[in-house]
Amino acid sequence: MTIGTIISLEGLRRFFKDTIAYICLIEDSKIISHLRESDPKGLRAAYDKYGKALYGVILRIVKNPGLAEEILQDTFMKLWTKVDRYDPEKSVLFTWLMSIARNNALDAVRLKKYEHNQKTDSLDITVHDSEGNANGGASIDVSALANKLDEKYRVLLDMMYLQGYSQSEIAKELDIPLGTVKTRLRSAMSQLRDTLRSEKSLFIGSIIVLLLLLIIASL
Amino acid sequence: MTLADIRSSGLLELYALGQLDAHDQSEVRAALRRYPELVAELREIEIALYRYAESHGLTPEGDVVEKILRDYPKPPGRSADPSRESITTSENKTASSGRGLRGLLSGLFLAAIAGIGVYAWQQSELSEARASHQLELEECDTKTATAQAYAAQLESVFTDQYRPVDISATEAYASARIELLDDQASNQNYLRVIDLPELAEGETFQLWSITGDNAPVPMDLFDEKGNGLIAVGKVNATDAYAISIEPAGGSTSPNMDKLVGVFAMAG
Repeated sequence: MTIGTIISLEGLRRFFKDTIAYICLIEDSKIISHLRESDPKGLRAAYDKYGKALYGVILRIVKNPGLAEEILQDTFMKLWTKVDRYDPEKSVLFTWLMSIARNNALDAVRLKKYEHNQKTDSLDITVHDSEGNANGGASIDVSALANKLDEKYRVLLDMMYLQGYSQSEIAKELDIPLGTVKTRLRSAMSQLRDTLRSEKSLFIGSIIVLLLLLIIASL
Repeated sequence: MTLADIRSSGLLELYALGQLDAHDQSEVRAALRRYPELVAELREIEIALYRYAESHGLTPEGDVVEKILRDYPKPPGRSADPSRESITTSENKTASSGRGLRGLLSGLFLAAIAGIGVYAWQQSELSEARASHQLELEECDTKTATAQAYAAQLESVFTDQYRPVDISATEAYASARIELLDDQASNQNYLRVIDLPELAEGETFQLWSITGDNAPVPMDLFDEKGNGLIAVGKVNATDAYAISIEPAGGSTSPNMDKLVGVFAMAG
């Protein structure tokens, strides 16, 4: 790893993004506090932080922008009305919201019998969505995260997390044993976590080097 | 399950992905209570997934956030717009700083009165909602019982024992659709109504039995419409049944101008 890499703008961008992500999670308690006091500022803050990520997943599941927006709205309505059911000890707020959004989206798919058509669509749709404006959405970030995952892990994670497939459905679709799905999933998560860890180390390194350079320059 | 078991099983990952059944979820929760160090690990997985989802985030085309902030169920006394509320709160704070103790106490008193009023109103709303819910439940029970009875009826008549005969509708009532289920073994038939013409005030449908050159024999009266089964009488060796529209109470001979159709039984 060269100093040039460490202090690159990309590295800094990632640093700030990663830091912001952590701050977001710390701020969950503030959002929840607002919501429990029936203060709509909590609703607005939750939407600003998690709206796009949730919409991305919902849209990939239902593949219909209008329906996806309805489900997104319903998800935040549930956050507003059922916030007392959220237990911060069990999960972070995003996990809870994601669970509501995915279940609503999957219910909608079952209800409207879209499932067959959707699941015969090409898996490439996910990639196109995140790279452009397919399905009427605008990508917020084509992060290096996905690109750093092995293809076989990325496909699996996309299917399960972003498109709502169950493990057995993935096994059937990819024609691999269920045990392989479980193993690959663990490896995918492990790789994802490693990527985030190395990003964090990289960012901290960037800051240290920047500080050193500033000190040297001031001497 | 030991700490190592949990770590090597992949259950934490599946838990964060929402892929566990209730049993495995409770296993993980128990493990999280038993081994607090797992919580940090779970959070790391959740953050990784959040980052992954965020990196695939999309912006809705519509004004979803405006709809959410407009449509969320508002508690009494709340402003719909958070930014406006923020301004209002700020103004109120500034204003209140200039008031004396009396003003503050008056304000608190009024707020308490308003609070009691709101509480009473909420209780009243709650009570009404409960009553309405109870009514809906009762209505639901009634509909369920009716549907179950109908299903049982359908189950009993859709057997080989019953011969279905479609109506030959007359030109005047060409859209009429009704089926006669002829019971081969008992003295009862059923009419399965699919579509029948509207009855005017004081009218009824009447079933007739027609045998040879004899005058039609009046049978059952009915005024039911829509999907449903109607038990009617049976005349052995009848050539045909007919349905006509008659004055309420029925007639002794059919009004041929209002003959809906005929079920040909011969053969």
